[in-house]
Order: sequence, then C-alpha cells, then structure tokens
Amino acid sequence: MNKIHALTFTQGEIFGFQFHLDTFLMSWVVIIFLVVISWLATRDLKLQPRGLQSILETVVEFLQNLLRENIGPKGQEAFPFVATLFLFILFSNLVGLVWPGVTKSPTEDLNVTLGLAVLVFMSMIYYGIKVQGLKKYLLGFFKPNFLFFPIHLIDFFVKPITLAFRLYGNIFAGAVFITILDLLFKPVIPVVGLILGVFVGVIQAYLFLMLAMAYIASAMEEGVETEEAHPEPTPALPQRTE
Amino acid sequence: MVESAILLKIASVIAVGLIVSVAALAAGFGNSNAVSRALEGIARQPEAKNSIFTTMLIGVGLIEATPIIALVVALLLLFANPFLQ
Repeated sequence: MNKIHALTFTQGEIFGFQFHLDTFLMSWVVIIFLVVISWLATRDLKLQPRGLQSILETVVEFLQNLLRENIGPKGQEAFPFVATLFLFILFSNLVGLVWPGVTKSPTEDLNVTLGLAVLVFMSMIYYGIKVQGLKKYLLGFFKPNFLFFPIHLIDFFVKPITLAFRLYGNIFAGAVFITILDLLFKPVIPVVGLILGVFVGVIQAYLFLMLAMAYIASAMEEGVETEEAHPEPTPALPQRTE
Repeated sequence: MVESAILLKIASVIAVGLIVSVAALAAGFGNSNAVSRALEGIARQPEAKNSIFTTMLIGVGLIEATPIIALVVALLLLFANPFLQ
C-alpha cells in the first residue's frame, strides 16, 4: 500500500492534547525563519537601505499599498495582522516544496487553515465592532430587510470556511500531485510539480490576503453586501488621447 | 455474491471518476469565462491591464475553490477511504 506523504500525519501528544507533530514542527520552522529574516534585516537600520533591508522594505511597501487600496485609512491598524497572515501563508505554502517527501507544508493540514480562518473570522468581528460600534454592527445583519438575517448569518460563517478549504485544497492537492508524480515519473517531478506548487502557493497566499482584507473592509462598512463594500482597486487611468 | 469490500472499492473508483471529470469541466468552463472577459477588458483598455489582471487572478482563485474541494473529496476516497479500513 502506498503511503502518501501528504496524507499521513505523525500523531503526538503534548500536555494531553492531540497534535499533528510534523505540522507543528514545520509551522515553527516557518515562524523561526520569518523571525530570523526580519531580525537580520532590521539589525542595523539605515536611512538608505541596502541588501536584505531593502528587500523587506519592498515587501512591506507592497503590502501597505494593497491595504490602503482595499481597506482605506480606517484599516491601517489591521496591517500587522494582515501582513503576518500573508507572510506566514506564503512561506508555509512554499516550505513543502523545499524537499518533497521530507518537508511538509503546514497549510496542507486542514487544522492549520481552519485556525487561520478562525483568526480572520475573529478579526472581522473585532474590526466591525471597533469601527461601527456594537449596535450598528449587529443592526447591519438586518439591514436591507429583517428577513435578510439568515442570509447575512450564513454569509458570515461561510466566508472564512471557504477561505480555509480553498487554501487547504489547493496546497494539499499540489502535495499529492507531487507525490504521485514521484511514484510514476521519477525525473519529471522537479520541473512540473514544483513549478506548479510555487505558482499555486504564491497565488493562494495572495488570494487569502485579498479576501481577508475584503472581508475586514466589508465588516467595517455599513451592512452592505460584500460585492459593493469592497471596491476593486481602480487604476488611475491616463486620459485617452485619440 | 460480491463481497462488500470489493463493491465499495468499485463504487469508490467510479465515484472518483465522476467527481474529477465534473470538477475539471466546471473549473475549465468557469475559468475560461472569467479569463475571456478579462481579455476583452484588457483589449478595450490596455492601460488598465494590471488592475484587470489582478482582479482576474482573484476571480480565478475564487472560481477554482469548489472544484478543488471536489478534488480533495476524490483524493480522500482514493487514498484515505474511510469506508475501507
């Protein structure tokens, strides 16, 4: 019977709680990696950045622009949460490709992605209440019509759950794909499976980020439907000269 | 009479075939719709290419979520079938 690396988690017990030990280990590997990189880049902050510091500053600028476009000035305090979410997910998705068969992405584990979705869920509530006030936020559930309450409720719960399953499904399917390719066509995996894995990992991290920002933004607006509440970033179009 | 374990395996394999083919079709049609509209938008306004491209990627990510969940169900049936222990 073939053991699929992506499907077998080593169970373990810590303080009486059941854990997936390999997911736990790989999550900490990602966290330590991020902390070390950040520490190395900020050790000697210069006004004119060089090297690692300038790379990180590019990333931070990029994230801040995205945040400003999607949430606006009211959401600037959500920046650390959202940026950490993106960086953690991005490197979690990629770490499983570093050594297929040995390393395993933490996001391959539904527990991890559900945990991240719970974080987004809580942040939606937190920023909604913080910006709108508790009464206004709760009234928003009844906004267009009293009968809309079940729809709003379902929408409220479904959004983070789809975030979790989307991320899990994409990364898990990629890992299984690599394992199957490994079983069938030995020389081919490094090229096809890993490129696909990198592509999917980056896009899914970016997508999680954009959707989390959109959900937080919609929670901060009046009780409007999501489609209207998160305006897509409109580019500054130059005037057409004809 | 066929014993139940073999019957379950046959049923799982047929189910996986159906699930994956329908999911692939759905993903293909959904994505082609989104990307073709994005291409039309770019053709009409080449200046907006970056914004349209970004929105298209987000749309593709959203559209592919459900077929990928179907794929996960199929993979579970195939490799970690809860009925065959």
